[in-house]
Order: sequence, then C-alpha cells, then structure tokens
Amino acid sequence: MGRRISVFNVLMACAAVGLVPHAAVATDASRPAVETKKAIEPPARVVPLAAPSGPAAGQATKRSPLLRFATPRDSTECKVKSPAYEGRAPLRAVRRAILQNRPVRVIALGSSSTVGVGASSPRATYPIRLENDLEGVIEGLKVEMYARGQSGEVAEGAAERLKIDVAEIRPDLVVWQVGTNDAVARIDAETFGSLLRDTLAWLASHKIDVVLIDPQYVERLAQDARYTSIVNEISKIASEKRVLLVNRFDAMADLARQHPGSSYLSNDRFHLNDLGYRCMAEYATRAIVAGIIQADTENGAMH
Amino acid sequence: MRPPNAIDFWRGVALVMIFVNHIPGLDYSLVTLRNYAISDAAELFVFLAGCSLAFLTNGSNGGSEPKPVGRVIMRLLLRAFEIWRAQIVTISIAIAMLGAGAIAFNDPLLLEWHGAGPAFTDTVRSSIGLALLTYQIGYFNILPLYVVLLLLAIVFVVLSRWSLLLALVASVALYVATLAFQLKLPSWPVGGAWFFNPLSWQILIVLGFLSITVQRRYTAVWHEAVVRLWPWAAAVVCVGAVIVWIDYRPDPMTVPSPRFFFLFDKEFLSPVRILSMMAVAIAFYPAYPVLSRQMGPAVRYFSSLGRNSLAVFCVASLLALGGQIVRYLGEPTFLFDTAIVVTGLVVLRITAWVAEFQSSTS
Repeated sequence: MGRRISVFNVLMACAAVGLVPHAAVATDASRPAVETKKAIEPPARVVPLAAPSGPAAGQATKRSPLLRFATPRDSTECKVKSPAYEGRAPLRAVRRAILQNRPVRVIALGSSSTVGVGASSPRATYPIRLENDLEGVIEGLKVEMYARGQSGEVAEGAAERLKIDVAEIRPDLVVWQVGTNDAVARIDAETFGSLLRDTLAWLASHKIDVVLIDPQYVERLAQDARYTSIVNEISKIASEKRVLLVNRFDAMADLARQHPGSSYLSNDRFHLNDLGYRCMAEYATRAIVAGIIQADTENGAMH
Repeated sequence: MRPPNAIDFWRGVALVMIFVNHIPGLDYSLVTLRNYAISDAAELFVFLAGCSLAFLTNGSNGGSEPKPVGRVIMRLLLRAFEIWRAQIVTISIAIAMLGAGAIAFNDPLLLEWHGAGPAFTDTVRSSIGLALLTYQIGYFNILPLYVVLLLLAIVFVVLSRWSLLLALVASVALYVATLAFQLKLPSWPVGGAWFFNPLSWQILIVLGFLSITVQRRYTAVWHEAVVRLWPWAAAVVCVGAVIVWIDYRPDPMTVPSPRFFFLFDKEFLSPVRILSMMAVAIAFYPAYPVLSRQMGPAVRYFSSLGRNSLAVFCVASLLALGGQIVRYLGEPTFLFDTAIVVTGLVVLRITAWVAEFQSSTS
C-alpha cells in the first residue's frame, strides 16, 4: 500500500477537505497570485474560475471569471483522514462543456453502488447526490446524469457496455466505479488491469474525461491479497493514465475506524446506506471540482 | 429414450461450454467456442433450441406432418410455462446459495454477486420482478430469454403454416426494427434492459426452426445448399477465429448508425454474431457422423446431456455458481479448477440420467 501517501496526495487532501481555492493553488504552484485574489473577491465560499485562454494565452491575469465555484459539501460524518481522491488530472471536456454553457453529460458507471442498492430512495443514491452536489458547487451548472449501474458486473462486461453507452450519450465525463466485482470474482489483477488500461485509452482517444472510484472496503477482505491487488492495480493505472481516482477503499476504511457501528452501511453490512452514498458523492464531487480547476490551471487547454 | 443425434450432441456440447464459461477465470474456458468465434455457446444453444422447435411443432420428422395449430400453440405455451417454472426454481436456489454462503462464511460480499443484492435489500419488488422475469441475476438470464422466445415462436410457427418465407420475413422485420430503434424489454426493479434482448434473439430460434423444417421438406435442395455453402462457411469461421484472436472489435463511436448492425453486440445479437453462428453450424454440420463413429462414448455423453437440456442447464447453472463460490473461498489453482470441472461433468451426467429415469417412469 505504498501508493497511498505522497506529498501531492497530502496537498490534494488539504484542498479537498474544503478549500477549493487552495486546491487550485496547490495543484499549480506557478499559478499567479491574482488567481488567489480572485478567490477572495467573490462572496464567501464562492470561487471564480478563469475563462479559456484567448489571445493572451498563458497570461492568466488577463482571463475574465466566468464560473463560480462554491466549496464542495463537507459533511462532518464523511470526514476522513486519508485523501478522498488522488491524482492530478485536468477534466478538460467538463470544463469545455461548462464554458460552452451547455449541460455537462455524466455517465455514472458501476455496479450495485451505482444502482443504489441499500439506499432508502432513488434520490439518496450516489449518482443523484453527485448530480445535486455538482450543481450546488458550480454556479449555473446543469448536469445531465446517466446512471448505468449493473449489479454484480465485472469490468469485462462493464467495459463493453460503457463503450456502447458512450457512443449513445456522448458524455463529457465518465465516473466509473470499478473493481469490486472483479475482486470478488477472483479475476486476476493483471487481466483486470489490462482491460482497464485499454478502456481508459479508448476513452482518452475520444477525449472523454474519466474519474475512477476504487472498490468498496470490506473489513474481512482488508488483508486479502487478491482483493487489495485489484485496489492497488486501479491506483497504479490511474496514476499511469493520469486519471483522477476517488479513494473509496481508504475512505471507507477510515469511516469504519471512525464509526465502528458501520453507520454508513446498510443492514447487510456490505452495501452503503444513505450516509455512505452521501459520502461517496462528496468525495467524487471534490475530485471532479479539482479536475476542473486543474484543467483551468493548465491555462485553458482545450481538446 | 431416443438414440444420440446431432442436435442433442451439439446441444450437450453447448451446455458444457456454458457451464465452463459461467465460472469466470477457469483456464478450461480456452476450449470453448467464444475463444474461436464471434458467437458463443449461448447462440449455439438458442439456435439448437430452434432446431428442436421444428420437432416439437412439426412432428418427430421435423416437417412433413405438421401437427394441428391449436395443439402446437398449447405445447408451446406449456413448454414456456415449464421453462418459467424452471427459472423461478433455479434463480431461487441461486439466491439461497448466496444467502447461505454469506451466513456460513460470514461474508456479506456473497449477497452482492451477479446482481443478487436487490433480492436481499429490496425483497418486495424483487420477488415480483422474479415472477415477471424482469429481475434477473447474472448467469441466470438465458431461461427468461427462452420463455419469451417460445411465446414469440407461436407467431412464427403459425405464420410458417402459410409460408416459411412469411415467417422468416416477419422475424427479420422484427429483428431489424429492434436494432434500428433499439427496442428493449425493461428490467425491474433494477433499471436497464434484459441481458439478452428477446426481440432480436428471436431470429436465431426462427433460423433454427426453419433450417430443420426446410431440411425435412426439401432434403435434396437443402443438401445441395449446404455443400455449396460449406467452403464459404468454413472461410467465415476462419476469419472469425482470426478476428477473435487479434481481439478486434468495432469502435461504437466510429461505426455508422444504427450502430448495433455493425457492432459485435451480444444483447442485441448483432448480425455478425448471427453470421458467425450460421457459419459454425454449416461448417460443423458434416462433423457429427464422423464424431459418432470415432468418439462413441463422448457422443453418447454429450447427447444424453442434450436430450435433457432443461434439467441439465438448470443444474449446470447452479453448479457453476457453486464453483464460483468455492473458487472465491478457496485458492484457485489449475488442479482445483480441474476438480471443479470434473465434478461438474459427472454431476451433469447424473442429472441427465435422473431426468431420463423420471420421464421413463412417468
């Protein structure tokens, strides 16, 4: 589990814990101070995002603020010590959609967590919460969320379905909860990794942003070599492919330590309940907001 | 008990391949059809079900003495009901196996497998969905397809009484409309659609039905057609094997619309999968007589499974789930996997024997 701690992760964790302006600074040390100033000018908890680069590309000081960000929700119950996400990847397609004033199309792909097994109502499921959270954080943003949950699906089937869905929906962002079922089905980490790499490469070739969510934490399998090998493989590939990764496994492990009664789990002690889904959506929101800001810090690099 | 024949034999082969394929990670899956053709054992199974349909509706000779329409409809309805009943029993046992495993090994992950979660967390709606066949779990979704196919087959069989061409045209029209407009049967309470879309898969059962009917009614023409088509079918099989070997798949983002016509999609049964299946059927058509001479015991074994396909399929599905659970709890090795496969093959043969014993005494 050597992957878990790095200076960058610590910086991103600090950013994610609630200070988006800090995240922008943390992800790009060269970002001009003016940007930070812009973060201070708007009302509290609202941060402007720079417009895409124009003739004065590279001069961030010339950009005019078009978007406003509120700080992502940060529930006390969802606070964890480990970084909620890792990686430093610009979500260029999402940023482009925002700046084009059109709805951001998001496919939430996954298994039971995406279906919302264990949630008390459809509104409590993680895709709906994620949609609401994102719309609450980015002023004027409209998210078109396409939840494509298939309980028990391993990555091989999910990847095929993902490609079809992507071709149909043409999303700006895919939030892919991946690995839990492969880990359970004892799919070899190398085979799984190869498939994940291919699918991420395919998405990148079509200029579609991706945020991965790693497997669910289960106490009994926390030390299971095959289970954790899938978790580590995802982290390795996310880093290699420069994709944002929501650290659900670590975050849930932290939650389990902080809430020994497993208040974030449903009665079956495996599926998330409303609180668990809320936390998951919050972590994903933080990652996505950081990715948009990252895209902006790269001076509006557009596809 | 009827003697071994080609349809029973190949259906037995398909059943064993389905059993092996339903245990992900087995090295033995390397010898199954999906590693050598764009279509797989599911297509073979459904196509052969269509072949059997010809005997069910047209009499034991497959075509020259059609049974009364009313009786045919009743037989199809009863068969559909029988398969519905088998699905309910099988999926209930599967869910019970997962629940029992979760309790015995204190492992809630088992409750999640293959989409069984809603059966435990949303029992009220899931139980309704189970009865309506709209709630299916992974690897237990072929029988619901089969039920709908038999109900649809009533229409095509009735049409075939006027004209075989009319039945084929109706089937193709439904297939084309399904792919063009992406018609689907919805899943419930979990969203989405059926894993196998019956509205497109119906064409395979109709092709199987028409193949046998034409073979029996126009034997000489049929034989000549097969001889002429054989080299082409063999070539298609070879090309398919190469495509699978190099792992080529069309990119859904770049194929023309309606894209399901150009993909290798299993849910909608894209045309290339049908072509692959028909090519495999024609290419291996002459193989059975040779095999029955050279490999008598194996032919008898597979034929016995194929003769009792419903019972064997249900037990194979449950055995496969058991195999998955055992692999999950243990440490899978080649020897371990071999033991699972051998045990499965023995149990399937016993199942066939019991089914035949039961039918001989009833």
